[in-house]
Amino acid sequence: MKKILSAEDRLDGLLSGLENHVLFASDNAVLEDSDVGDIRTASEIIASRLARHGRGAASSTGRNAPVKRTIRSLIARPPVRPIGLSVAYSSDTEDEVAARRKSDVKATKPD
Amino acid sequence: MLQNDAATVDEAADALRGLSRADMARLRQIARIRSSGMAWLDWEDLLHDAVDRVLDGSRKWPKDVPFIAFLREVMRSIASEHWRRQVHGPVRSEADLGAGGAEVDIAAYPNEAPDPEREVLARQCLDRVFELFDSDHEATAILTGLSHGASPAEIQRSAGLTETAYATAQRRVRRALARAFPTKETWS
Repeated sequence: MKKILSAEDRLDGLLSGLENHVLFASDNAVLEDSDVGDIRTASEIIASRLARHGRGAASSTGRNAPVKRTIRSLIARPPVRPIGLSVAYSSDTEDEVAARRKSDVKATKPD
Repeated sequence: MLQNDAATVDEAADALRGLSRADMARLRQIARIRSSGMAWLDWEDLLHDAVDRVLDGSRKWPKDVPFIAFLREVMRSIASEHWRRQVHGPVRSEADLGAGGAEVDIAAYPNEAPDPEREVLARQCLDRVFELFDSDHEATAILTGLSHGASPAEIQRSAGLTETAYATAQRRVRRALARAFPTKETWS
């Protein structure tokens, strides 16, 4: 029995069939059917998206550049030391660690 | 089994840069055909959106598919999303959004269920297209055949068309569609 198609399916079938003809038509036939202005518009759309894509790839100028710069600066920044805790950082000298321990003890003593 | 080797975004960008004038014309015609059923979307928006999705990596080009055919599928898919959202919006119910409290992009949930209102809209679109060819029996035979999924050979056989007559009538259809529905503003 033949399947009854919905109107949506029939519309999709119709549009797909017409598109297939365009896909398989020769270059000459397609160009003859097209307005120069429309081809130019299509080229401009693609060129503008490619240009935007190119800017996005160049981190200093793209739309996401401020976010990328912020992330880079956060990575580059030295870690924030917890206030009031004696944590030895690998870059600290022994004197610096000892001095901070003293100040931490003072800060945590009850009044 | 077929290997689904997807291109990178840069490879897709290179393919876009390499499109010929004829390819541009094809994309324009395909976008125009696909949007001709929709008053709310014009061909420029459709092409624009398709290229954006390819370049942002949300649609990946399987390299075993010709690039123009891939772009046509991207446009078809975008048009389908627009179509499904047009009647009732993006979601059927809150249950469709899933659990877990995570933030949900509602626009990513098109309504896939069969819907009487979409059927009415689709029938109206079909009627508008068919009305353009009231007095063109060859074009009407082609449109009827295509809308029922018939192949060109089947349509030629059932309508008694030669290959040349079929190609000429197809061309009339495409040109008439482009003239009739150039932009979304002129659709209603």
